[in-house]
Amino acid sequence: MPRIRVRNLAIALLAVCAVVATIARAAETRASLKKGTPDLKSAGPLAFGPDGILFIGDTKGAALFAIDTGDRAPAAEKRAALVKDLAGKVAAMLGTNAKQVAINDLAVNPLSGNIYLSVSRGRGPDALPALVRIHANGKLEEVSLENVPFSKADLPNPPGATERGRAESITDVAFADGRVFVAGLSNEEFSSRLIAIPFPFSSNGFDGAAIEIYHGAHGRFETKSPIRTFVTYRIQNQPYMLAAYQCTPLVKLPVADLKAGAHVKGTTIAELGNRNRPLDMIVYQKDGKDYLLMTNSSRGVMKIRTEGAGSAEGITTPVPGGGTKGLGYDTIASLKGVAQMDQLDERHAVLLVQADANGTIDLQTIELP
Amino acid sequence: MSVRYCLPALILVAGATSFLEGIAPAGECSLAPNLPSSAREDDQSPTAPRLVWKFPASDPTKAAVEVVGAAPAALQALSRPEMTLDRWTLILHIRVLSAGQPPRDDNPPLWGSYRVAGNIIRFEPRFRLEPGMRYRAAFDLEQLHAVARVLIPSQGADSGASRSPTKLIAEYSPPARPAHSTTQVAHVFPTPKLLPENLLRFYICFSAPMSRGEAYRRITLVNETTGKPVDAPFLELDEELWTNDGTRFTLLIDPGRIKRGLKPREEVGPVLEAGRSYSLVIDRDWPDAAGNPLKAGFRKTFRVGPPDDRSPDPKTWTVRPPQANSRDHLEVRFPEPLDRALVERLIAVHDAAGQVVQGEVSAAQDETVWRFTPRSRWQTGNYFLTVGTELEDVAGNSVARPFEVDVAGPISKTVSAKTVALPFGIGPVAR
Repeated sequence: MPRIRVRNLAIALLAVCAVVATIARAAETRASLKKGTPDLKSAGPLAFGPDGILFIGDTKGAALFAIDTGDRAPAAEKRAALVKDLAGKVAAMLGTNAKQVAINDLAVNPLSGNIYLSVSRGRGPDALPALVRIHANGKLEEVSLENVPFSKADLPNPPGATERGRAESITDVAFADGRVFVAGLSNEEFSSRLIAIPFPFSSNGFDGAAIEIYHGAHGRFETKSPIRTFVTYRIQNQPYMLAAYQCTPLVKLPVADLKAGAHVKGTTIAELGNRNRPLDMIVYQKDGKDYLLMTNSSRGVMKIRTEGAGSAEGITTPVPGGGTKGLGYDTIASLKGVAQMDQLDERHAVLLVQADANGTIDLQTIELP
Repeated sequence: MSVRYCLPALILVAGATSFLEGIAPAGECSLAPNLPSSAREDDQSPTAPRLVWKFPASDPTKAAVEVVGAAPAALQALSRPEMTLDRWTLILHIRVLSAGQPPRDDNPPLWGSYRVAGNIIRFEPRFRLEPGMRYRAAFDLEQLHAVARVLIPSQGADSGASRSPTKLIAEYSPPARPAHSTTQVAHVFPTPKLLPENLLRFYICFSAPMSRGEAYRRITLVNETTGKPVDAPFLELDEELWTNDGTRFTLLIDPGRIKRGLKPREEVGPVLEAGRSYSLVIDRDWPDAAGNPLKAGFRKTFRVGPPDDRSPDPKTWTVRPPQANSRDHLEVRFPEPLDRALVERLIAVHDAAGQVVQGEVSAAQDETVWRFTPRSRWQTGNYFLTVGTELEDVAGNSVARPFEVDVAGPISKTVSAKTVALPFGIGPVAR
């Protein structure tokens, strides 16, 4: 019995140490942010990092912002949010009509279950950024960016005075293993640009060399196509990036290889069909198995079995007759018009859904298929 | 104080039976003098609050709402730190009105900030109002009274609610922008009438900033042989590729249908086929940044030749040095058209000491000529051009490497340096 008590005590002490370490890391992370008003010029792709910190890609300002949302209260229950005509409601709050509003991305704060939207008010070059929070009860509110703890990482090669025409759009942002990955695409030179920025951001900047990713098509022709959307995923306990390209190869890349200036060749593990754009994806677990849920411009929502992603050697021969190859998938027929998504909790995801041909956008919560 | 008339404004006070068009002289236009007579009587009592829209004469979209004349006890309550946004919103808010539809209470109110200054309650919207849209401000005296009672129980009874109408409503609409189509397509690059089958991109340049979000609906690639649009020819990016000033749009042809060996190209075929003619057609209804359609549609017709799989090689360029002691332009000729944006950005002139020579760059003759006009006169001596190896031709082959590398074939030439140098000299002026 005493031995059991000692063991219990040891377990309790370890648990306390783990909690203390987590709190200490969170405190260190938050200490790296300074209070002020971030000069956000546009609000694009979103990703949550540790401790309620939200990363916002700012295409126009060629920067990545980390903002402490202060939204750390765990939700007792992450309820299913449903907001009809979300774009219309956001437009009403911004004092305009839905045509003048673009919802650029959606992210769920894993701590609170609150949903965040990055929004542009206006469609022209003078469009202004806004950040909206949606509570589980469907209430929308402004996320004020005045006097909030934040830090900023300038992206390398920002358009200079002599580069009036060059701009770099940020196609996706993800946080993994202490680094923020930013995928981008220039409006001039053609390349797939992926940058890894260690977080907390260093005041000395970071090695801004882009990671060159080559997509070997059928083992013969290499190019540098732009990544459309990506997620991080652990295969055999090693972090990988799963990146989806136009028309619609799914490529795996070991995160450990993604170092500044590295030349990385991705392995194509699935070809999911042509005439299609992958729009967004999430990784989740159901009944002990891992799945990837991917929404597409013209091939609906795919539930992809990731089993075998680790051993897949890559597709090296063309797929004849319009078929698909690599990881298997099912198309979820009940989900149509899904533009964006994020995981709400272990069993649910929130979706931005185009509800009709007039561009009406609803926010829906679904049980993960 | 200049006199202005806020022509589009409407105002209604509870108890009145109809709207009244407000025409009120003021520097910051107040609608209060235009109240219906019955309401005006109420307003003339010393404690009756008035709800007014205010905006600077120079910018009717920068409007704010003010409640003037609320009871001092109520104002005191509003200054308390317990005033949450929810409490403020119950008392005073603005909602957007949809054209031709009744006000919708399920629409959230406008974002903005509240403050009390003297005897005025002021709400400033977070964003400028939209020209031509209608807004309804609502002030609820009963709610003010209730909040005052909660926050200052001893004074709440004297907040003035009983002597005034319980709800004040005032509508406002900043004047709509005049609808004029003035923006037009200024250029489409590449300029040549003959383009390679593996063309990678077009640049569409406009005379004024455009709106985002409709680009791929407004551009069609038409096969002139069949007269039909080419199916899904472009790489469609949600975040459209614009310059920050919104005047140039980059349109990429789907690389999946350019690259050999990829499924889309093998199944659907290439977007462009050698020997055929195509037209890039731009829809007149594409709205500019002001929401107006283009002045005219645009059509660029071109023929398609064989693919270009080779990297541009600066060694094949012809440099024509200018005269010393002149400001003549330095000219470089390429054997093929290069990418318009990159050719203007990635070639620079340096003197023998490595200093950048300042000047203006332009491209000409279907992007086969690069010209540089210096700010100062040329000096006799040695110079060199630096060429960024990201410089591409119209098929996306860069100086560093071709657009696609056939790893099964012979090893392609690739350049790992960031720039390559191209020396030239300017001799003494002949006497």
